[in-house]
Amino acid sequence: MNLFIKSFFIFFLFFSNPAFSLDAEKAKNFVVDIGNQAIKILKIPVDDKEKRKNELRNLLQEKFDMELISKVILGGNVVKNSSSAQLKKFAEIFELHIVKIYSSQLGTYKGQVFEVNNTEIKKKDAFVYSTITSPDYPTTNIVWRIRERNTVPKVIDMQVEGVSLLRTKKNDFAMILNQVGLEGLIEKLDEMNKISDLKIPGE
Amino acid sequence: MLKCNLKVFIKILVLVTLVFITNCSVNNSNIVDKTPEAEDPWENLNRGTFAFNQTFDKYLLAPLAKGYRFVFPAEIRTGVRNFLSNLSEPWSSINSALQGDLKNTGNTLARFVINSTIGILGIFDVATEIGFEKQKEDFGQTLAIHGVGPGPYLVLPFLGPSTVRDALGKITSLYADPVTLALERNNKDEWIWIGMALKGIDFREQNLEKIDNLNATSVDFYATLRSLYLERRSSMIRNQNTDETDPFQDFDVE
Repeated sequence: MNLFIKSFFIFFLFFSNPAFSLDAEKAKNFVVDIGNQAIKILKIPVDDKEKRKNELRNLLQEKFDMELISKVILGGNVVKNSSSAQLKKFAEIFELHIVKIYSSQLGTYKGQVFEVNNTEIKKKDAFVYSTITSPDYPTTNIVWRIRERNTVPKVIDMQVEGVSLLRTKKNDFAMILNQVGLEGLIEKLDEMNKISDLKIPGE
Repeated sequence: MLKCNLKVFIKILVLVTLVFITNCSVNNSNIVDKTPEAEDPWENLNRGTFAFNQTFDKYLLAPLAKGYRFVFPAEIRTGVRNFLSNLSEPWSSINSALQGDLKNTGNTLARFVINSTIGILGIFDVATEIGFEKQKEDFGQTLAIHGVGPGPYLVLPFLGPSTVRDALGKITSLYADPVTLALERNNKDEWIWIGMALKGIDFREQNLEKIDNLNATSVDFYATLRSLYLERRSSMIRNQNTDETDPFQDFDVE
């Protein structure tokens, strides 16, 4: 009986970890879907900045694990020493901040083609290698780090030409977090989110 | 009997807790962050140079880049970019050879020959169109391939982000780049500086909105640029064997 219980729980432990069910094909299709959505956003006229931002926000909410990303960016110590209300507030403000960044960096559609090249499974994550090719610009390499969260795949980081979103923002926030803490960072991001829309490349 | 049931209950409780912790580890503070700290022991000095570069950019480089975009059509700007880029191919070829990358040594040489002839002095990038993709290699990358570490982060006046190793690479190119040497030998030193200035203006023009937007959306623009530079360089060096390297090898979330 004792052996049965042990076996049952080992079996349960193994299958209850959602990361084990992520396979290369699923991760690939998930990223192809993101690419298609991103191309659709590029095709939205640049004058309709509100629509671009809304679509981008939907994409982030649907495909990215923003809660995990925001916590990793803050780091273990800050997360440990902050209240859940503060973390929730930061996650909301941070999401708007990311929308602001990408809506200002995403250019216009000029025949870009999104392609997924290969996928690797390492530990509990899938790494999907993709490229954006265009007749006007050099090829851009993007690597997506995907993790299954509650049976749903989510992006937990992306690396554009070797530059990780997580690490860049972590470094960007490091000094202000050291100097004035999470409240100071929230205040600063809130202020920055209010600045008027920036000029889009190619506008 | 009661004792036995209690034991089983405790075991079950421990296992359930274990399962719960395993699955929810990312929802609490158990975040393992292996991000290496950027080596920036000269941060104060660097921030000073960065502020100087920002002023230089605000009052001279960005206005020049805007003027360049306004006066010259995109086709001419592309031609100038191609011409300048073509002049860097021989140095790229030498560095590829020093790195033991024979494929890119041939590739860069072929690019130089094709673009200098069919591409009319490099104004047209015919080589890319027929399948010779550009892969720039510099002396900083060569040093890295041979095991020289980046050393501290360094902001150079006018030139921007670098490291001690990459700055050494830049200085070496001034004395070893065949195009630079040819210009020096023919007493045309001023063209070295004109070429550098043009490259700077062209780069800024290409990235006018991107850099300005990055500045506007960064809490600490200095740290953002440092992060971008160091990661990009590291990726350029690791590109020698992209498929075998974990792109997130230094950064883990558990």
